[in-house]
Amino acid sequence: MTLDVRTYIVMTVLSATCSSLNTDILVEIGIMTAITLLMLISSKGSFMPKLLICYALMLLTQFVLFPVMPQTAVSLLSLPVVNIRSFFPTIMCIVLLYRNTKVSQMTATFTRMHVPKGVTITLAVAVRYIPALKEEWLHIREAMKMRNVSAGVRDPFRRMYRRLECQLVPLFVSAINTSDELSAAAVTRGIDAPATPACRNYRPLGMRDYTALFITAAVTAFCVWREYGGAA
Amino acid sequence: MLELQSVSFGYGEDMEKAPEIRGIDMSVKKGECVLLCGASGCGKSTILKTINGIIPNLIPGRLDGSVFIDEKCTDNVPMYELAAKVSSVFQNPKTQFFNTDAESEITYGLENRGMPVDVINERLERTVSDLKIESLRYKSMFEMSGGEKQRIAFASAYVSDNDIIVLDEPSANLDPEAIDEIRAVIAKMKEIGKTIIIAEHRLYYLEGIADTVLHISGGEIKKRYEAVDFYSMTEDERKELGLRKLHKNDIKLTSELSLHTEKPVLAMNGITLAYKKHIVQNNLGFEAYPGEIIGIVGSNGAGKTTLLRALAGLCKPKKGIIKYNGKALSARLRRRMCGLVMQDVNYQLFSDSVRNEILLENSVMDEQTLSSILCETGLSGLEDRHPQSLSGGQKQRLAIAAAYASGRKILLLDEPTSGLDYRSMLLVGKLLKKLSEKGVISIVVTHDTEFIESVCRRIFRLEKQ
Repeated sequence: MTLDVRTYIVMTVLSATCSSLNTDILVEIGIMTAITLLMLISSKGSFMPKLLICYALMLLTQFVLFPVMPQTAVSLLSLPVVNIRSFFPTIMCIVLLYRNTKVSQMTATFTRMHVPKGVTITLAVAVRYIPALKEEWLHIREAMKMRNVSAGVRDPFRRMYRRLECQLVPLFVSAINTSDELSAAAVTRGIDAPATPACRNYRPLGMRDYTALFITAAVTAFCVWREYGGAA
Repeated sequence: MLELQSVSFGYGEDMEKAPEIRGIDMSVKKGECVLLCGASGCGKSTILKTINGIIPNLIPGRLDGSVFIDEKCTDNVPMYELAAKVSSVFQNPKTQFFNTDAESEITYGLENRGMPVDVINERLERTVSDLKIESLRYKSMFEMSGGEKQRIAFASAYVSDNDIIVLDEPSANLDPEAIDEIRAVIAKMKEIGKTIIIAEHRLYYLEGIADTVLHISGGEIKKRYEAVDFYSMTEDERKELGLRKLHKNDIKLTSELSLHTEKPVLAMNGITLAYKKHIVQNNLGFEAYPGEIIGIVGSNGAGKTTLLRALAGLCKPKKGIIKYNGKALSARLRRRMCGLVMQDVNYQLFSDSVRNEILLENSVMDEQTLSSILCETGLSGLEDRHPQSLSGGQKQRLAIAAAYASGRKILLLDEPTSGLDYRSMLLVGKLLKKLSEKGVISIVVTHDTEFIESVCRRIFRLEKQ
């Protein structure tokens, strides 16, 4: 099952609102469970067990290890374990958006919404470039492994700097080449045509989108009420 | 249909300073297929860019002369109007798609024109059926091989129904099976009356399709051939012109098969290779003698690159052992012993000059040794150039030089000649032969039968399992 790109965007924004307002761990676990269920019934590749394991480990650290850990360690770890963890529902919504939205669908929907063409194209290229970037990053890391790029550099900071330089320079060169070639391919396919593009993949919001939006809005309203209304 | 009148182009305003192309006059009839051939940097691609409008719309510079399409000068025609007359397919399958799914990619150009959705769908169905790409239409672009991506690029040119198709080295990154597939697509395009202009290094697969061949050199058209005359030129004439082979044939090894006086040093025994949990090769084994150059061929997905990565120590074989001089090598030791020249060599050039790239892993190298390596690899005079500013062939040779300078005993090369012209291919081959004399073992994964014939002593063919 997939939802419309607009539904995923609204869910992402509202989940971020909930994450910043909510302090109740039970509500957080409830939201996580709901999103996990949505991931499970979404298209193949949406469910990310590693993300859930990471979340579970953070929960265990907070409730099992923190009470027995020295105060300094707790202070150091509380930022990643508590604050970053609370934004896991938002991260999962972004994963859902990314894994379940075709670039063409996004472009079609944004065109119908009269989002400026520049913004739509930039977003489309960014989404399309993410997997390519991952592939390039892995190739460069393998090349670095083979070349022993920091050989002879003893200072750990210089070593780190050297490794970062070696990782980023080929990546930037590749990004520049890719952008030149993508631009050439785009203009030869009429990307700058003044006509309103056809929206072959446009799909209006359906019952499942309205249901998902209603549930998300209700949970957000509950979080707002808990934070402000309940105390009044 | 298409005419170029005295077209010259140079970057910047100064046309006197070595323009990319000069005085190009050509006239192409409707339904004709024109092949542009010549060495890298001779101006083939620049001519194509003046036809599809990338020059001067996207690449600034000084353009003299005129291009006419259907007797209309394209000087002040906006790019999107040209896009509705000329379709283009480029050489790199990775960087010419926008969408993540094949169907959307094929119809992208039509959507930009604002065509009615039912017309787009009707053309999509016809294209899928004509080009026989039913198995690809619902596939993610990121799950496709280079050949499959290129077929989708051809499909998006086909669906546009434009009269002129411009192809810029479309076979550069493809294996022989994929080249056969795109040959069929080009033949189909010609059959339905499209005018095709194609720039290529690989010439054999266009035999029987091209009508006219233009030999380009130094930015000028040096000679115009009828295809029949071109494809019947002698081997000596072809080599003189610096062109890749003209006819498809089986691999015939020409390197001398000398009797080995030494024992094999590298041995792989009972190797099982897996790619993403899928076994690609079982119980593989071979031995290599000092200085041997071995070619590894086979279809896509047969595990050639996985084998190279296993040898390089970048992945572990599921089973089996790799030995050098009788001693088992761990992955870490293999990484120190092997030099890897990747298919996209841009990923492995890290320094700010050719000199520093060679000295990266061996900063204590004396000046004399450095000069000798530069000389042997044909990079003398380029010491201070930034590696990323070199040509494709020079980058390949620099990566080989860097591996050799760091004392690697085994050199692993993944498609080292893809996109290289005849002379650059010969230079890479010559370099491998020189390293062979010094005892370096080279293992080359390649689809380039011409390269295999010129340098390899033995070939292993990996079959898909």
